[in-house]
Amino acid sequence: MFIPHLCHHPEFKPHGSCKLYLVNIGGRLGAACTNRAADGMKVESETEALNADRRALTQMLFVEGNHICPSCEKSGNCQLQAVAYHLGMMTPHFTHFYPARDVDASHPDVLLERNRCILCELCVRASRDVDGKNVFGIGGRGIKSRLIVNSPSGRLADTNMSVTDRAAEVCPTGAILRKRHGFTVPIGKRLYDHHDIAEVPVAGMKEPRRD
Amino acid sequence: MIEHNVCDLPGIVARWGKDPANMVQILRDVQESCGTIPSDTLDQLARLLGVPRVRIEATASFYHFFHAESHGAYEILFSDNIIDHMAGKEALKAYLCERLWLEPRKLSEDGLVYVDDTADIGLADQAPSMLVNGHAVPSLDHTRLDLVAELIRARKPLADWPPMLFEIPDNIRLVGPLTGDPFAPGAALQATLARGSDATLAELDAANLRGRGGAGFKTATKWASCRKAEGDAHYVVCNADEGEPGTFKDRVLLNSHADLVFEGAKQGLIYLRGEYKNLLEKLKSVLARRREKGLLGNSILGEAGFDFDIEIHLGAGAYICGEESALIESLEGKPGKPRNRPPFPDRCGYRNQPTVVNNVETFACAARIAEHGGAAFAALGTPQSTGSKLISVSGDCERPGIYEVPFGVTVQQILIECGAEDAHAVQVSGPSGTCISYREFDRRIAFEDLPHGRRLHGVLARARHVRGGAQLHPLLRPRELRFLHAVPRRHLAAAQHHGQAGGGQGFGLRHERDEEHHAHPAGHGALRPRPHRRQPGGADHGEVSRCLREAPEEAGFRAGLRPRRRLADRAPHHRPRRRMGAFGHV
Repeated sequence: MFIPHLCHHPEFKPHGSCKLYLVNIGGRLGAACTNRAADGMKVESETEALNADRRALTQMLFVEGNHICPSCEKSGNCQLQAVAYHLGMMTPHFTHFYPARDVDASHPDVLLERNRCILCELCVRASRDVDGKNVFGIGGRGIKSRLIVNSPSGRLADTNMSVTDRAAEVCPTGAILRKRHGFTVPIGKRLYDHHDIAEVPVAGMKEPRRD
Repeated sequence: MIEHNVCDLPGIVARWGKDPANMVQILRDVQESCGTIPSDTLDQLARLLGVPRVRIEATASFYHFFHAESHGAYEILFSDNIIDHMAGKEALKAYLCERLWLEPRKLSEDGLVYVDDTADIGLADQAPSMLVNGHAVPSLDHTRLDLVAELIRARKPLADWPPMLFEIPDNIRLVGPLTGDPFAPGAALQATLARGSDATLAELDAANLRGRGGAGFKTATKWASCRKAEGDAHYVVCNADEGEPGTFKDRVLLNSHADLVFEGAKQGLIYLRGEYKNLLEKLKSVLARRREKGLLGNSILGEAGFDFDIEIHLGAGAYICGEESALIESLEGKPGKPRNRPPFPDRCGYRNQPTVVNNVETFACAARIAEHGGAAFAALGTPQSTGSKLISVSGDCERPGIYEVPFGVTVQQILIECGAEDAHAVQVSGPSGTCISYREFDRRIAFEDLPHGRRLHGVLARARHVRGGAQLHPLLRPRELRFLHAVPRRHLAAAQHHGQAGGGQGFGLRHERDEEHHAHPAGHGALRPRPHRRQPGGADHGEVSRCLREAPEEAGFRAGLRPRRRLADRAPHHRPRRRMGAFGHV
């Protein structure tokens, strides 16, 4: 079965920040990715109440960033977009923030589009735990939280980021993109254009799951 | 004139043991000696400590009191709590800015002064108040601000300012066993040693002491479980990050009853909120005195192997750090973001070791229990909520201050005590708590009643004279009072923003749902996507407007309405401190 999520990836330590994976564990709400299953544990996930909460949280993720799907290179491969479709989100519901966020195109091979960042910290974890580089971090607090990089100038070009890093490919949205690979697969022929995210929960999975 | 020196980074780093876990303390010292935390300092710190720059930047940018750009020789931060607003804070801030010829949030042209807001600084009983370079100045009015403006223009160093500006009375109005009885330092420790630790835990259990920070978890259970948990070290953390707007009981406890608190907290760390920096020296001297007396350090009271000491960590301006797992993250030098639970701190807390985190007041209660036994403690209060409770009262009432009351008293009784018999509505336990109308004033302060056993501190009596020709303060309009407590904090703004746009209609989250969704007390780490919390048979707490609408319709009520007076005009301290017995037995 599929539990909606955005910040979880089986390769990395659970982080528990997107709150979409919220399940009802024996009457209490808990994170599906950080609570271990135990014998006799009763867990509810596909309830209308939980899905309504997940939908509202997804809507909040949309309005607090600048997610313009029609012009985004990630459209069709984006997990945020796919989760929104999966949960039946029809409108943003909340007032858009339109925050001013920086785009960092300084790196020769990697584009950093902070407008689309949902602060899941997958890139932070990948860079720290897999690449051993600590390129990314989250700075600020609350609504001013933002993705920061490990350089005095604050520019990605001045870090030791490389396009072959694991951190360059884990982003569930279009916040970290490889340059010169845009639209090689046309929109309409992409992963989530044809599959619900419940079938292909992890980006990069080649084959849809059959269960 | 205050000159900020080039700071001695290696010295500061060495003072904190070259330990990245002390990052918040290191950054505080850098900020204090340089006035800012410049970008190149982060690089130097990264080299000195051997951690990536990005990690230091994450911490430095998280806390409100750290900033990269200069805030001048005098940084003035006005406490921005609803009580301050009711007491005319905005007008006073504008007045000061005018006197100094500057705009808020903009460094003055000569680089001398910076004026801005900050979250509640724990002085709601002496509102409006402000911090000058981290030092609290309470009870602001035009005269005091004139003086401040003069001192700044004369470029007088803060140390030469008249001490009366910084005097902060405790305002304890009603005393009880916690605040009223004399306490000999060491008494609780001696009793504990004589009784043995198992028997002392049993006394705690018998006393049925529940955490005073808000969640109301049974203290004996927490301590026993931490004691059993395996680890290289066990830590005790005292949560003195009293950030809930309108609360100030811990400030008073630490100011006047520090021995009682330290005696409860045997070993470990105190996380003192940055806003209470003025208490730091006093607390340090109490600790030093206890070390001299053999009540702290090695072989306490001559008992070999009984070694404990206490270190004080200062916060740096982040409300969220009052949540226990966020507080632990902050103690470890990281941004104070709540952890996922389980595991709970009693098994995996500070430095991943078993840790007990308790509120200041809880430790004070524990010391009293160790001293006098559990039965004496449990004699007060109700069966589910034993003992007494310190209530911080502020807002539109005659006598704001601290009231120690037995659990089980009604809101009405407290309102009579504090001189707000004709209140229309009361906000209980801060903005994230409950707003009740006068019809519910017979409800009791107890874990089993108000408000769901969550935070019990902070009764804000207010809006008393709504109909007296006065305008309802804009901040009291319902849409401003929306707080979405435990949704990840960054979503909070989304919801509030929407509340403004959508008028009184909530955020589209259905709020008639059952209780399960907000079952997490103080659950910052958990999710509670609930703007309105509904209580069975009670009010829908978000609806302040309803509370206020109801009141004036009552005939008896109107008679009590008087023209609204400014809070600043009320007669100060005209009632002597009394003991709580006045309530009879509840």
